[in-house]
Amino acid sequence: MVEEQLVVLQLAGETYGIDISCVQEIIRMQPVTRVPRTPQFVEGVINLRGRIIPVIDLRKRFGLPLAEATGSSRIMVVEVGAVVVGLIVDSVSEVLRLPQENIEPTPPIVSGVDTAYLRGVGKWNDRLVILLDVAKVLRESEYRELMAEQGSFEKAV
Amino acid sequence: MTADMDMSQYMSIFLDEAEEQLQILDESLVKLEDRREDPELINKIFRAAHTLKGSSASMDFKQTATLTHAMENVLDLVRQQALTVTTELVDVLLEALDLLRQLIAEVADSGSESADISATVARLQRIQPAAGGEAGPQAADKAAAAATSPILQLNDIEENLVRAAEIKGYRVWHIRVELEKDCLMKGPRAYIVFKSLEEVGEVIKTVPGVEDIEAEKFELSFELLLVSREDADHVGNIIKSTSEIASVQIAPVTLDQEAESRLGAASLQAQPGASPGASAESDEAAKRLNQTVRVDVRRLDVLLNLVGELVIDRTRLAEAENGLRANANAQDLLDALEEISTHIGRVTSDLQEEIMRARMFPIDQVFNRFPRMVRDLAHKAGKEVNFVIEGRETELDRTVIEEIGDPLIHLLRNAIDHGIETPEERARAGKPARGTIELKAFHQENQIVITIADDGRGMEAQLLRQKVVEKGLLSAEAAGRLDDREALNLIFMPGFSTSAAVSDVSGRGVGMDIVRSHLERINGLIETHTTPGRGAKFTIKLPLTLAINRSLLVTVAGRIMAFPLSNVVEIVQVETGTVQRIHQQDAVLLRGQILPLVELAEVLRIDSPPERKKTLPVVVAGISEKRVGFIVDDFIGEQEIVIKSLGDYIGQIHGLAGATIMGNGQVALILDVRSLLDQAEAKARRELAS
Repeated sequence: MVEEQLVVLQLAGETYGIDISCVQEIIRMQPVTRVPRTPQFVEGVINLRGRIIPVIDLRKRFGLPLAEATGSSRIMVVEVGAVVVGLIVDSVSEVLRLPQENIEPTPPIVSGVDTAYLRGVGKWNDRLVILLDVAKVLRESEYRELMAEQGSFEKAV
Repeated sequence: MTADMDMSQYMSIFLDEAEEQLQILDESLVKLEDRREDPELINKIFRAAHTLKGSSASMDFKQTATLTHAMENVLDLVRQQALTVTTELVDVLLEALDLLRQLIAEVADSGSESADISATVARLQRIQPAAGGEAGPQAADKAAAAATSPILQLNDIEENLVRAAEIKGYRVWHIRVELEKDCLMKGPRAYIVFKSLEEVGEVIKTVPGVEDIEAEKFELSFELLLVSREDADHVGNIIKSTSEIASVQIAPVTLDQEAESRLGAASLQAQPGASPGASAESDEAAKRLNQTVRVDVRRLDVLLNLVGELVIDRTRLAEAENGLRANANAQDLLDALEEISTHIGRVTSDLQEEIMRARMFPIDQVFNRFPRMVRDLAHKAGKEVNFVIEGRETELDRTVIEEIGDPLIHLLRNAIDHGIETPEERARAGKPARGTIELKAFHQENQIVITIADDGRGMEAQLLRQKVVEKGLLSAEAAGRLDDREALNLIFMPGFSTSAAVSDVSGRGVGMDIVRSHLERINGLIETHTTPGRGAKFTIKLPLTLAINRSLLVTVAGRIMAFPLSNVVEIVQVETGTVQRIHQQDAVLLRGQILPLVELAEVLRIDSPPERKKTLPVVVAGISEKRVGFIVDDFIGEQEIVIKSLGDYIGQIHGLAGATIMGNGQVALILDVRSLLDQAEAKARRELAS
């Protein structure tokens, strides 16, 4: 039986899953240094054992209602290609093995997240796990677009 | 299959070696034009061609071998004074050299040769007079090879070498190496033996000759004389570490009385001027200089990164110590901590310096291609140029070496095209027909200085002012306001001039804006000095390294930011009352100069600047002549920082050079002064225009 291993996280009351193979580590919240001239959802950068890593707020990224960080907030460090990014999530609950047959295509209306960033929906006991496509979330073209939309990107004068 | 694998192993040795010989050829051939009768120089060229021939033949690169053989024949005639050196001769040899480069590049890329050498070989052959046959290195050997053990029959030069070695406390070993019967690649094996022996000494003679050994013209054994400080066991072990060696015999060699007396006689009849001993010595010194370990730059980068972190730890430790001192009373503990902290400090500083040094390369790596380039450009432009290089051994950081080549090429090209006049023009001006271009590199304080000076026509400020107005880059009035120094800097203005437009007047500026931006990228500065009619001099100042910087930490809107100290001119406290407003642009008079002021928070668009206090902390930052004062919240102090990138996801951000980690583990952003200046300037210009 083919299974997927997912890291399960909570975001604005919904349960999401991220493919475990792209998750490097999960760390507690820490002070973030803001970087000017980046899109709103880029919280800034942190020091991860000598490496500088950008951190993005997933709530802001998906346009979900904002919330203060709490004791259960975590930074999930993910790696896609050459890009390493920390994602701020409300909490991380567990690692889940989900048989592939339990995964279904994304229905048209799911939570507040744009379906373009989703890989499908997994049924797990009585709950639904929304599978995030991290690569799409981090894709550079998306980043540039959002940058332009927010108007904070200015061409060199 | 194993043969293939072995070949690839030799391939890199072959390519390294070929590169070395090509470089020797390149440098020496250019010199040959000036020193046409220098026997040492001709010998050096001959040896390089010869070595290349041998190694390419043993690797079975026939084209390279054929071409070098043809070169060698011509050079041999020169050596025997059957041919005189002419410009045409040098041209053909240079043509052959270019072709060799191409062949070697092809070998490096694809492992095989494809360039057509027939035309060049034909040209080389045409040069030869009817003389033929195999002359050259074997002749001397044959004469010497008369008595018992041929290798111990030394000629004068070899005797001199042995004697010089003995005086200096070296030992001379007579070594006989026998390869295994089924050894597949005798030539390369012997070559490896030579290579490894060169690490402990110098092989001064072989039987059969090196050429024959490399061409596998020997049975199973060969003999050689090695000058070395090492003892017999050590030398034996080195040889045995090569595979497929059956046996090694080593015996010491001493000059007997008879040889000594013959040596005396020989030295008496030695031709005046040429001193074979000295040239062999300097060659040996050169060889030792090249005996360096090749290290992957990425590995060095990793090391440097690690050291960077250690440096950060050092700062953290010092901070912890201070914190403890304030709170606790455990005196012993504190003292111990202080001691550790001091020690780590010393170790990290040493380590940092060592690794930095490992990243350093002599600038000759860049300079060595210039003599040929200058020669070709001068020929093309119909000018006569005496090109002088000084300070080849000056060491620079690898990154700087990679970036510095292009700007220097631009400057040299300009010096030849626009600086140096034609011989006729120079004669009219009462100067020697031959112009001089000097390229120098040296250390000065914590910087590397490179100068390029020519004795050409120089630049006239007035002509530059005219030009900039003609080009429509500045109004006549604005141009008139520039003093001579400022006018000189016009050449760095983008779009100031193109080669075609200035070649007939005393301006220059082929891509000078590119030169400057290239240099600024590696935190370099360029200055111009000129005397019309007498020449021009460009002075480039570069930092020793780019990896670790001293910086000035400041706070802006509650955040900590770092100015690279190399861009900070000074810090001042400005009374708010003295700030003047000119067209929406704040400025202050600092020692008689107008200094534009900008809020750093505003330029970075962090947030709107806070209410102004009575005195404003201002960082005066500058590159070249540009100066702007950045208003900050507060100064924190100086600190050593390691520049790290913000990563691929965020990418380049205007105004930021990267980030660094501070003593408390927090991340601080490093400002990119160049883009901040550009921005501040653009803003000032907009304000003034409106």
